[in-house]
Amino acid sequence: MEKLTKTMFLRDSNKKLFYLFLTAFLLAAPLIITGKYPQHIMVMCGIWVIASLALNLILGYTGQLNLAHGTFFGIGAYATALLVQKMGLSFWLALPLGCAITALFGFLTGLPTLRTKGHYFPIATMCLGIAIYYLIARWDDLTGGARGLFGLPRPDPIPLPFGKEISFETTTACYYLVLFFVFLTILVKSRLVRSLAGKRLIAIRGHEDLAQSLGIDTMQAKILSFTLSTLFAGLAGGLFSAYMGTLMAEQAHYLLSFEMLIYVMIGGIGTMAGPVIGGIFLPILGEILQPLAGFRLILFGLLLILIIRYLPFGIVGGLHAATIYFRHRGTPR
Amino acid sequence: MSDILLQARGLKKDFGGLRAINDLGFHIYRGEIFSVIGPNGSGKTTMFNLITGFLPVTDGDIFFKEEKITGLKPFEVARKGIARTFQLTTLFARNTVLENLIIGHRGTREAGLLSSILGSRRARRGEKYALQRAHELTDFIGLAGQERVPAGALPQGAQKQLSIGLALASDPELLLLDEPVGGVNLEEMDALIHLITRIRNSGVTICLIEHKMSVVMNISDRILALNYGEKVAEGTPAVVCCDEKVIQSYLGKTYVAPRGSD
Repeated sequence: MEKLTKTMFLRDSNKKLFYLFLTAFLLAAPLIITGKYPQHIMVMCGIWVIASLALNLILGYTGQLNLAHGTFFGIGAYATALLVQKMGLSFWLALPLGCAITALFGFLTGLPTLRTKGHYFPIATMCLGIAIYYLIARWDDLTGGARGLFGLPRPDPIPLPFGKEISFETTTACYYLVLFFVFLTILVKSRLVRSLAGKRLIAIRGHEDLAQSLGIDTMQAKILSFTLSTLFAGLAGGLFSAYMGTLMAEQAHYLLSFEMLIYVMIGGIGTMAGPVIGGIFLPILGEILQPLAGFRLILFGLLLILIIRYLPFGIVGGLHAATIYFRHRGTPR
Repeated sequence: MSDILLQARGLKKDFGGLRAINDLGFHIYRGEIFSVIGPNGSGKTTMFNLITGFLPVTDGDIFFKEEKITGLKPFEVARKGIARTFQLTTLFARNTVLENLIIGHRGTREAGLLSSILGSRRARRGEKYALQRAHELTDFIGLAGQERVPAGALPQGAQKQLSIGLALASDPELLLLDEPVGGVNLEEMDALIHLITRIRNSGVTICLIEHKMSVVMNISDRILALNYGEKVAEGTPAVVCCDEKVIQSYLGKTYVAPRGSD
């Protein structure tokens, strides 16, 4: 019996080999790229990849445009940071708790907003994003307001036998920490998307009424997808807070949601690899174009328009179309 | 044939000031092909939407296997065993034929989120069943060999076949088909009629809305004729096609019954 996954993708041994090489490269990358600044960018890319993967779950697979994703990233970041700084919790306890708090926020906001259809969900989530941004920026006692939080410790070292430990003081160590969570996010998401439960989400994206007529509880599935998506947004935020050591209200800015949206759109909406490519490619491009200052946003906008016009499924969709084209070129039909 | 599968009593539906369905009562027997005919706007699709919970009823009750299903949500009605197709052929256009049928499988609506992520044995077994059933269904609906074609790329007739297969994937007892042969050519129409009778023969009760009288008169066991949301006639094709009010409101004075009066 063939596996269910085979029905979704053209799987060949080449692909497996490619992933093996990619994993090996990612594991060895800090040995090749030793500079502190490039390594810092690699860590940041990892964090954006986790956040983009999470956004793609609700946006790409469930078809619901969440414009508060950056806000949930911010909630996760602040929740984790505050649990460490004000409650004195260990990072390893604060991170899952921070994720849970973010997911609870997601669940509670999803209950009313996911009932709406059409454009109302994006509008409702954007309003939420703006409201929470101002809440964080003005709540001086809790969040430090505009000054933000600083002096956040890096994750506590993990003790190993024989008195050794894994410390997270170096950027390299943080890179591996983030990479671990990138792999975890990919694992959870790919398993979900390829399973029958994931088909429920794809059904909602395709046609919500049709999904209902097939006995799928679309509201429940949307809530689950949204909650899970916000949970991983919180994870990215929590990692960000511990890695950076400082948090500003800007990290929960509602425009952040649009940045993640651009990562997913350019990488490839509703594809597994899309958010990974978008989350790596665009932040790096942003760094390269740093000298252009504000002008790079114009460039990003132009890129987005071109992608939406010519590659509706982003870079991944374009690559996919190209392979199909080259595979069938020359072979008589 | 005396076993009643679905029964409606005193069904009413108002859209603002417009009464789309008025005091409609009918029943569908288990194992039959029951057709609903009537002019445009006579309330046929509205009736489907009331049964399947896509529209709330204004008044009246619907019973399925003697259980009241009025007021249930569409997905709850579907879980009771009533599947439907839509007038505008509705599919998961971006997904392949096989994926469509997997989505429609009843295992999909029940699969647990956590067990799916953890890849539990139960989840994998569910996937296996769904895939197996999807393969069976592609054969049954006559789309073997096209498993990997995106649904949106199929010709109109095949899309209609798939939409019926999709509804069938959830293993319903009652299948509601909204214009199953609307807008297809003669060859495709034959394939669809053949499919519908085979579904009935496999034990699924069918209720269909159709405008093509040659189809309705030939395959139906009983017919319900509607006009302005009210029942005009109900009975066997021979009875309904000779009914004075049906001829006046829908068939037209020149209509000649295809099978005489047997």
